[in-house]
Amino acid sequence: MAGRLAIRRRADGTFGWKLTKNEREVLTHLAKDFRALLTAETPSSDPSLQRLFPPARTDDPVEELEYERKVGDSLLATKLEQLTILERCAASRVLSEEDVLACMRAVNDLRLVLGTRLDVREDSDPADFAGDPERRSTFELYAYLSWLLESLIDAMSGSGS
Amino acid sequence: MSGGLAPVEVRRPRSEEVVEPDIPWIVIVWNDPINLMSYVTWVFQKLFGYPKAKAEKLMWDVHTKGKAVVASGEKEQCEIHVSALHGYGLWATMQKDR
Repeated sequence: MAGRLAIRRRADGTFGWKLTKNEREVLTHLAKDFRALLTAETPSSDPSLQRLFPPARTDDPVEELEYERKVGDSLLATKLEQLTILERCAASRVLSEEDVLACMRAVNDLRLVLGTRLDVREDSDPADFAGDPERRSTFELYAYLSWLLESLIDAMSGSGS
Repeated sequence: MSGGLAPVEVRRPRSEEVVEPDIPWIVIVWNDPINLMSYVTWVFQKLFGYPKAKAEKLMWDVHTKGKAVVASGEKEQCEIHVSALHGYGLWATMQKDR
């Protein structure tokens, strides 16, 4: 993957999105799994979701309830919508700026879920998961999504043009 | 980002909770081991319109000190900021600035 450009801003303002067939399949699969998780579970039933819906008011539980009532559903709706866009984009070769934004957020949400499950540290590397093939493979997915997110940030920041 | 420092619960006696409309609210972003430094910087630029240098300084404060105040103002405005930051997956809370 080193040196390869996954996404690039084009002269007309759209983004060219060059992924392999395998990458597209992986992203589609992840988006489907994540939608099933978001639909079936809540932060209290699955701790890997807690990081996606953090409390806003750690100073006041009553105010926190009020805040959750106000924004909780719309945050979930936004996350589901971003996943739908990621799935559509996984099959596309040209993205709009709005598509890229939604993909960034969806990819970061996936990183948050996988990273929480793996209990990653900033300096985690594949060797930390050497004894456990399943966790090792999850970590590789996490590392891939980190690389993909960096590519999306570079493209949005303009340095990819 | 390093550490995985959880938001600290700030306990205040109820008797101090008097209405002081002139006290602004602050939005705090907390360090976590998952969000990329480049992503956090980009979100601060995108959401608050901060120049890159300011966004990077705030990101480094989060990274090295465990947290940073990224915005302040009226309660409703801070709620909007916090929910937008949660939308981007950042770990944000708000409280009265005192």
